[in-house]
Amino acid sequence: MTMRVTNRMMVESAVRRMSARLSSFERTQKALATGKRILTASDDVAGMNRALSVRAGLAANAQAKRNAEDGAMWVELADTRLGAVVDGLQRVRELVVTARNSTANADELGAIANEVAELGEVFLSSANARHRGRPLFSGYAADDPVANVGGTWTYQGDNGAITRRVSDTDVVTINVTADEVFGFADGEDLFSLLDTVETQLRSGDQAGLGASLDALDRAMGRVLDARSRLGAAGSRIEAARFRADTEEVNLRSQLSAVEDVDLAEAVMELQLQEVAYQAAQGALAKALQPSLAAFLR
Amino acid sequence: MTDFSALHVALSGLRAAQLAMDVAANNVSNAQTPGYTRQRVDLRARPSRTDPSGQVGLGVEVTDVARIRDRFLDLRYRGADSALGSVEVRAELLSRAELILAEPDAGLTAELNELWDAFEDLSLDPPDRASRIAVINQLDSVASRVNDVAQGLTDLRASAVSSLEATISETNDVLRRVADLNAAILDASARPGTPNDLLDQRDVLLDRLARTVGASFLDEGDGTVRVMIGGISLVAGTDVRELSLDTSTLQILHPSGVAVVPGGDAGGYQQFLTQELVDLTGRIDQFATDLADALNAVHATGFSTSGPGGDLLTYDPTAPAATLRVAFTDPDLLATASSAGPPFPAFDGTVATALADLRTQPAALGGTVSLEESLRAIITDLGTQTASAQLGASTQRDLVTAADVARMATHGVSLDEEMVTLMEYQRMYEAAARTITAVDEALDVLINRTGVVGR
Repeated sequence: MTMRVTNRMMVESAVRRMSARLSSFERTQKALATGKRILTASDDVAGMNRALSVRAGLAANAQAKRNAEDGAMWVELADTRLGAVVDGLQRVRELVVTARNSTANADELGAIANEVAELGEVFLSSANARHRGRPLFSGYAADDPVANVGGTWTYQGDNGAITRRVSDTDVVTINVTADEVFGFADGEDLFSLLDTVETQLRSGDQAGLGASLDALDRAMGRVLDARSRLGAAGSRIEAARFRADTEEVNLRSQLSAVEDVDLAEAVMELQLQEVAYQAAQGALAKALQPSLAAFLR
Repeated sequence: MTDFSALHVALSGLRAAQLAMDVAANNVSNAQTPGYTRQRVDLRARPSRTDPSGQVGLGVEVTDVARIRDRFLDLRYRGADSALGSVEVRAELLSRAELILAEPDAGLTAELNELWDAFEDLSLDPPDRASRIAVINQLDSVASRVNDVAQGLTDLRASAVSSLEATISETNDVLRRVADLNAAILDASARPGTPNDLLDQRDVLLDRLARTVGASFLDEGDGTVRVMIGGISLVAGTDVRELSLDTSTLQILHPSGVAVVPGGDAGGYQQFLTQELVDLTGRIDQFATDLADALNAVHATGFSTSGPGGDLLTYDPTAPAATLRVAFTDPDLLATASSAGPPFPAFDGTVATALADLRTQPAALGGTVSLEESLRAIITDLGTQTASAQLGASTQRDLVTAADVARMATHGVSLDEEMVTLMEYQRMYEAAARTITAVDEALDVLINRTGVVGR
């Protein structure tokens, strides 16, 4: 038996179908206009979950990159300062060797002593160097790490390890303290040593200078140690930066795959829906026209 | 009526055709009237008279003008529409709740990510005043976003409650009109014929009651219907028992004091208000508590220049999400260092790092998941509920459409059909009129021409 079709039924179901078509048309259009496939969680719950976790990952990754950049700059600055100290120490050593091997007179020894004192000032300014107002070699403390307090060279910082989180799991220590670098921790600090060397030069104490030469070698060893630790930190940071860059590309493409509209597909879908919508309109227009009344006379 | 009863017989045909055309005209006129049921004349042959030569018919009579209505189709439509009301209301309210959370672009997750970044920036340069102010500002943004969500949910609750109240009051109004129609139909039953228009009107109201509260109906046999929810009568004959809403417990009460369990729109509002919204509000409150407690616990381990770290965020435990606030505005009070000194380790950012580490540490829901994960679970669970309600609504809408189409197919007016009917009865009318003419001519012959042979 065929179904009885009434006019009201035909109109209502045609209108209903048409508005269903229009609403899917509108959805596709919105997706195209925003470029996003997921606008609320209910659009795609699993996708939203993934998108939110990828976004959190992206934020953490971007922060890790900022941390790494900041850490790399810090390490580089400290390394440059310590490089100057190494150069200066070599010069001091040369001067002492010269003083011991030559038959320099008191004036010449005085000139050498003056240069040593000058280099001591350079070391002090390196030790107390700051980056954006913050001492490079004093741990957590805000004061200059090295100062002459009542005639005694003192380390005024602490042993705080400054760290940077450069990835989810990797935390790098980026500082060395003047305590270690300049020998305060070992009880023979570089600055007192230079004072001694200066005195020895002025007094022509050859035997004393010999002992100081050994002490200078140990001082050089400490600075080189510190530089190698900074170098290791620097390369860990570089590796982490590289990983973070790769990770960012990965995460971005994941996010795009989850969230973004496939343009080609969406445009095609829009076309199809437009055709379907027009077809529904055309069908309704055709279905409503004929009436038996038009044929009865 | 022995002689030429054909005159009367033809007259009965004439009258029946006239009436049938009236009914067809009424059908055509009401083709687009909502709730109108097509009508049909019920014809019956009159009892015949006994002629010595056999039984001769005495024409036609109209026994009733009846509605063509299938009770079963009504039942199916109302059941489907009641279920649709419930799920559609929930889908609508749940998607409004989703908009309040405003994920993923303008929601809490983005603010939270920025908070961890702010803490981490602070750990890079702890004494930096700009970084400290940025942290305080970001804490404030997070807290006000949580407040906004709490306020949005409160507003949503108020709006749903007032919609529920409106639904109940509309229902009461409809119940009164059903009782009035019951009275009118009872009254009309004393007269011959079926009160079709009153029945149509009442059916529209019963449709409405199924939708608003999921009421069910029982034909009482005397023309009246009994309206019930879960076996509790709301209309019995001409008596009305109006429903009322207890706005604190959200129960819908019958005058007897019994709480009825409604379906339809009211059921949807009730379920959303007493289950989904309560659950969501509770989880947002839990998140606010977890966030504040976790931040405060870590901050308390740190030191600022003025001593140990106090609370970062405060809240009133009776309404945590609505009352979440930043505890202080002085950026110097941020406790970033792990020891107090002296000397104060100004560049010690250990505690700022520890605060930033809450990004991934399991600090929420009793230390089982991270704050970000707990928030994500709230969002995706709400998304799942919304998506399933929307899917349910779309499926149910198809069922309602099918039921409605089936009903319209039976109850509705087909214009072509009415045209044919009109034409049929027009012909019948013409034929009956022609019969009268024929009988009239025969009588003319008998009366005026008979006995005039040779005149």
